[in-house]
Amino acid sequence: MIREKHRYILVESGAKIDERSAGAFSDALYKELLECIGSLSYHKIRPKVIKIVNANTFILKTSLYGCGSVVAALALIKKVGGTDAYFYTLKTSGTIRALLK
Amino acid sequence: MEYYDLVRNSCSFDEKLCMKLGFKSIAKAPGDISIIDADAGRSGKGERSIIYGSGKRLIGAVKQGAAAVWIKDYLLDKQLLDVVYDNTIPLVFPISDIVCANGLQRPRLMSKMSRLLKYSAKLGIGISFITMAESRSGMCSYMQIVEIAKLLGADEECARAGLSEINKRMLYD
Repeated sequence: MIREKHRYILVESGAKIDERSAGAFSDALYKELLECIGSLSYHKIRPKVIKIVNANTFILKTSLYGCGSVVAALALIKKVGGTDAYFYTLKTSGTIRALLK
Repeated sequence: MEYYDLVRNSCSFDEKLCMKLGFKSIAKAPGDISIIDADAGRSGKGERSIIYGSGKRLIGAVKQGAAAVWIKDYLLDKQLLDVVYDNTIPLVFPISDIVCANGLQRPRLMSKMSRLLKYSAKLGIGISFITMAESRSGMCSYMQIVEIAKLLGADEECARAGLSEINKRMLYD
């Protein structure tokens, strides 16, 4: 079986992310991504917030195949969990180490 | 590759954000470049300007010269596109219109833009991708603009050229 390749995306958020409410934030973000990408592509892409770097930056993991869709979808998301938000994708990389350099 | 963007004067940003988003510089309109409404009967003679409008008035204004053309409602007007091609003026596609659109307005706008973009690319007209954001929520990183351009039907090379060489020529040369 071929190992699936993935990409890490460094994202800056317009909304502040509290460490304690990180789970709720991630769930709201997945919901918005699902709406933008569509359910058929979402299961292939499987986006996951894997690290909160600071109050408004986090790392999102996606499959290599869906990296472009996620980058475009993040530009289109304007609300997360009912509050206004915007997302800038700063960098993409195959490893977290290279991403945070 | 160096990327350039254009935003509205009301949009506040600093040098740090500009670098973070991957741009060499972000110009402001009006300021660095003016936006002239051709439907109001004005033309951009003698100043660096983007001509905005539709129909015969826009054709007249384009013939007098401009840095770029922004077609109102992204209507496909073959006569206008022929004039744009003859004058070697690039067409502007503001990404913040898509980013800030709500509900069904977004897919409608995207399909209109996509049709115009594909026809222009076929003719060989230069295509410029800018955000033209009115606030920070309308701004995008260069990566996001490239991906949205791809959604509209542009290929990677065309999207990157539209952000770098064409924008540089339009804004600074």
